[in-house]
Amino acid sequence: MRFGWLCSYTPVEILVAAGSIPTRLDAGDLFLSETNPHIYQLMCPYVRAVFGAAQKESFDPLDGVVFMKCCDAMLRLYDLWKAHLPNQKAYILPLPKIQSREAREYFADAIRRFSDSLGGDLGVSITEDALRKAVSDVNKLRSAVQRLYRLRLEKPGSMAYSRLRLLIRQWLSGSPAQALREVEKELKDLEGKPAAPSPPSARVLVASSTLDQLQIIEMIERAGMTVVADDHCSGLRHFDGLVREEGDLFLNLADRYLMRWPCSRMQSDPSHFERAIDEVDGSGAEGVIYVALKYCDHSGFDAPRIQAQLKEKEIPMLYIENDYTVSGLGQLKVRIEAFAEMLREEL
Amino acid sequence: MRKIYEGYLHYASKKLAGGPNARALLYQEIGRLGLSAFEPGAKLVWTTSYALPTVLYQPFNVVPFDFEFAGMFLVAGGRAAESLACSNRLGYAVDTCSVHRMALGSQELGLYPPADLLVSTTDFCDGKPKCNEIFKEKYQVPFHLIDIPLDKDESALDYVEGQLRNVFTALCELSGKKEDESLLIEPIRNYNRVLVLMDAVNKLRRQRPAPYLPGNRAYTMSMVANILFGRPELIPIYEQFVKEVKEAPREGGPDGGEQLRLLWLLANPAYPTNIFDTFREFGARIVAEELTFELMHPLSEEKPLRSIAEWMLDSRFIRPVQERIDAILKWVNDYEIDGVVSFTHLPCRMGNGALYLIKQTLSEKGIVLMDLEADICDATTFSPNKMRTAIENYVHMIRAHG
Repeated sequence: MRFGWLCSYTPVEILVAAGSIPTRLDAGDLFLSETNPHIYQLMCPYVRAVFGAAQKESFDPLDGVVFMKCCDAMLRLYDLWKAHLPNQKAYILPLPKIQSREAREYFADAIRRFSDSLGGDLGVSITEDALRKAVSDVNKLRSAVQRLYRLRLEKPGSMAYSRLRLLIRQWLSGSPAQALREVEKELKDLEGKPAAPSPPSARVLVASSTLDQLQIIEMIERAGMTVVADDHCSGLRHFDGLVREEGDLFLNLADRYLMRWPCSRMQSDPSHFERAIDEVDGSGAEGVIYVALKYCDHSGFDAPRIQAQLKEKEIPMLYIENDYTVSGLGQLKVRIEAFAEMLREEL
Repeated sequence: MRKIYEGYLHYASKKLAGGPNARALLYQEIGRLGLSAFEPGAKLVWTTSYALPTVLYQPFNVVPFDFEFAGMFLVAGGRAAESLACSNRLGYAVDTCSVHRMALGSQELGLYPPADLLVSTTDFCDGKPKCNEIFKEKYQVPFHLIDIPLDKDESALDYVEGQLRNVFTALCELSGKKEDESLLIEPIRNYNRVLVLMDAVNKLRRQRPAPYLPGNRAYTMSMVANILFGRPELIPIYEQFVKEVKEAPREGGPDGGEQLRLLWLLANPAYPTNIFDTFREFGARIVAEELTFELMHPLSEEKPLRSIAEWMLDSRFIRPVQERIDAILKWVNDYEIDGVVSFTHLPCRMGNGALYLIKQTLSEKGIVLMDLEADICDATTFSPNKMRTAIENYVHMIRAHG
């Protein structure tokens, strides 16, 4: 059994506890045009691409999809999914933007109701033991990926970021237990490797809402920059924080999801900004490449503010607006190379 | 901004010299309220009146300031370019909502009176809370973001009511009043009285033929009036409006008589356009607007904060679109609608994201939806010729549908 999910705030532990494989849905730009008759054009291209891919049955067969009310576009995607893909079960969960105790309790209750509803629909009982095991498995995966990020940082050049992204894409599409085995294998390989005597290259952090276009990452690396850290929905942020394994698991899940390294949508303390700046500091990044997804209001309002904060620290930022397609990559290449050149001169 | 409000007072005094006029009375009150925000010592609560009824603020000596409406008042006053350009200079993406870019630019330019407290909600759109987040950084004042869940059930009501109580406490502290929920009874009574009058307007417009109202008058009245919800001054204004609607021509009139009955979805452009003149030429009368209904939910004197929470959770924009579709179909039936017009403010993801679903459902019922694509604030994207052609085609299509 396989369930799709899109937002990094999806409590995948419930899916795992129900005996399902949680699969992050991402799609290339191939299906963007397929959505034209059904979805508003000035909408998040990630949402449009996923919808197009689903309509073309490009994903592995899914038993259902879980949506979060994480942004305007996602709520509308849920509407479209229900209308145009009626054979697939679609669930949507509210997602508080705040972190108060009341918000966490409300979210815990929403997760509990989702669990009951999913269990009822699938005819399975999502027991406390099953959920505890799922929490433990997903926690182990998170811890392992966190370790992998740390190790990469300690051994710069030992693992290309493009390779890490590719692997994470796979790990987010399979069972956490299987993914854990693969991460542990990577860890073992990396632990055995000496720090690569790589030529000095500029260290950068890549930030985005969702960064699925490997071409952009490869372009950054080919321009001679090393991606040492990230801040996007399927990067380290996704794996941040663990769920407490004792006590009320639903409340623990709510705590972890609402209190983890926040996405730009959250009104949190520390803010998304502060956390991102900490990451820049901690990783020793000398520059930031911010890949804003077109029509993403969160990115649209955040980018200039993060740039201003970085400027105070004399850390340059390259702002790239991307529509999830590969068009305009030639121009982008020039801008990325120029940024790399500028960083090299500053080194 | 101050000049805009002074302009409203000037307009009102000229207009009212010729006799009572609801629109002039309304703008007079908006002008007074707006100017009070600039008085020394004024305590300002920046808020969003269409998402959180301003009834909540009336018991306190604070000035509710709706930064989105203020931006649109600037647009109407021909002052959009400067604020939008400022927002662009600051680097905010140009594909984000121009209403919010207007607010951000205007704030940066110092056109707005500064905030003492920020109150917003998570519903309607993502841009609104983001703007508040930015304003919080600028002013270093408390920001209460009311999180609105997807469902409307007891636990959602408890959750929202609890958050409203926190805002209420903050307002009591800001204004030095003792915390007592009964402070809200009088403003709620005032609001409910206006609600009866708004309903009377709707009933008159349900009649066939509907009264002719110039422009999109009923929409303007309800949307601007919502900034004053809970204030006693709004009651005589709406009484006057009911009178004007009763006296408005039904047969004949400047549009030559009602030929088509339209339902208006979403907002209006804040700058002058040829949209309503063109509809008038074809005798197409707007007899109902979605956003007016959005503002019409009775409040309870017995349970003030809980009923405000209910008001907020009644919004059709916070939940899956089917609820909105059901409501549209009901209005189409109740008001004997011939065509539905959606003013599609281009960057509005929440409003437009599922528009094609609405269009498709209406089409299956034989109702044609016109998608009027433009921007609420940015007149530079507006083409009168294209708009005219689109409206002409639409009217022909409705007529062809019989």
